[in-house]
Amino acid sequence: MKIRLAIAVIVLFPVLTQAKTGFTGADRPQHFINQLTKDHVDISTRFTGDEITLFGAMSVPGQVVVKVSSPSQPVAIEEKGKIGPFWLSTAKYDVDHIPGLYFLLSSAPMEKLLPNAQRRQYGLDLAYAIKAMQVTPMPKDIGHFRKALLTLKEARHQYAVDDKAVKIHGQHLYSTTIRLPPQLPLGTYNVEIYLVQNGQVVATDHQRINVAEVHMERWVSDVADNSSWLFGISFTLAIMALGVFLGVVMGRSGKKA
Amino acid sequence: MDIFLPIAHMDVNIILILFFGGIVGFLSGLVGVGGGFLITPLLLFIGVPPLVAVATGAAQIVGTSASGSYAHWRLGNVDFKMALVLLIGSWSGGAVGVHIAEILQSGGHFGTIVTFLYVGLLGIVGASMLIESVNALRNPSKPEDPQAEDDTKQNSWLARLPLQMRFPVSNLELSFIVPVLIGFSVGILTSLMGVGGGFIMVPVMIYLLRMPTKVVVGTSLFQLLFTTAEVSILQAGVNHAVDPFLALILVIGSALGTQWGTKLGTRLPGEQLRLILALVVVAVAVKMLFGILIKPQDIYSLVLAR
Repeated sequence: MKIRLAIAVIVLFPVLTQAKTGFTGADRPQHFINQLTKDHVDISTRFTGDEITLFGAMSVPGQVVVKVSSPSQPVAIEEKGKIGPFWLSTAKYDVDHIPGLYFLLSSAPMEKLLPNAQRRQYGLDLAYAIKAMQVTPMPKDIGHFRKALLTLKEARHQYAVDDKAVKIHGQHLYSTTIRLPPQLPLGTYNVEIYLVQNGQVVATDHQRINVAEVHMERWVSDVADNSSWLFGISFTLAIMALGVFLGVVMGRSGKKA
Repeated sequence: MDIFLPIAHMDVNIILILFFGGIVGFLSGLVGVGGGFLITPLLLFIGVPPLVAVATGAAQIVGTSASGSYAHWRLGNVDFKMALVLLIGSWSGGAVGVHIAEILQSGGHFGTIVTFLYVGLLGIVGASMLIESVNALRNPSKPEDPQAEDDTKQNSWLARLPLQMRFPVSNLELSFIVPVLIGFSVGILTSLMGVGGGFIMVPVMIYLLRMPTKVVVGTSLFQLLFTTAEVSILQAGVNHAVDPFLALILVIGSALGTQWGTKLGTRLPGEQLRLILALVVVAVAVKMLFGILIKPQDIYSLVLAR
């Protein structure tokens, strides 16, 4: 843990210097130090979500915006329509190049913190999150489709915009909790932190969270996906053996299925 | 206690799945029918993707029918020649069915087809069981003997088919085509619905093929064990749809449930039990029918792509 902290601090410095030189709006360098309570999430069979706290200190008072985004995760959307008396799935759209998870957490409503142009520049908007989206086949009403997609992702807590999530403590400290849902895309998540003052981003910082499957789970999903035939044959034989074993142990005789 | 299913990509409560397995095992112990046709709808109700529900259902039956098959094999109740001919049909049917499932799934229509198949199948099976058990409760003194009627009529058209074959264990002479076709349709059902097909195979063997009752259950079990095994392998290999954790919990649950059901079954009257099962089956069919008749809350639904 100590080594990780040390690495985090070393990694932080070049990012900080970049942040300082990158913004002409700030006339003097701002100090902005941030830390996650943990930088990795292990997905096991019993994983039912996780909470990671992000806290930090700023040299000048301001508001804080945190953007958490995961790697792209393809999904499919089924559309239902009425055919005769029945509601059936009438179309299936494959959606790619959208983040599996996207959180926008801030200490005040976004429209009060930053002007539109700045929000677009830093990608601080749900509409921006799915800007690169590719859908096949193309839906008739793409605007409606986009809205439906965002609603579905928000319902699963995979997309969230919360302007009360970041708490400012006094003048120089802030903290927020990143609540990860049970179903997470794997990979490295980017956590971008923005210090905002008078409608300007005055400092930024960058953290990472690594989400990976561990042990047994990783092994099972690897084998089932990459060697699906080997998995199918060995699992079927294993479950057959288990069936015979359970039958013998429990001393039951034949029943038809 | 929640567990994450690596293939279904969802969280489920272990106790609930054990309970599902238990119900199905309980019914099979109680009434002597397998519960393949109940497992898939139950999994669909809790949100398991249709293809995973169907594929895992088939894998689950491998586990639950293995010990029964073994027991019947030991007792010599299996007509191996008949089982083999049936398997030629059901393995082909299973392979065709798994590819049909693959095509339907890529077009997004698998769920719809499964729902229709289940509403139809459960509706017919449930309704006929209901009628039968109500009749049995009304006239308990009149036992039916199906083998006595129109013996000559049925045998005549079966006997005219080419490729006649002898099955010494069942003491039958029959066209090779008949069991292959029966097997083929059961194989399709196994891959599209995740059922073993015992509820079709047993009556067909008794009434159509006229096999001796002694070998009917053993042969059908043996046949469906290897059909579901083939379908389970293909569903995992082609469609990546067999969830190992889900299947394991279901098998354990149903082994426990069967124990309990068998004990209780010896103490309860058969007609009432059949009536209860018929009501359960009809209720599941009605629930599934309502599922497609009522306007969904959300026109769109999200599924994880691979």
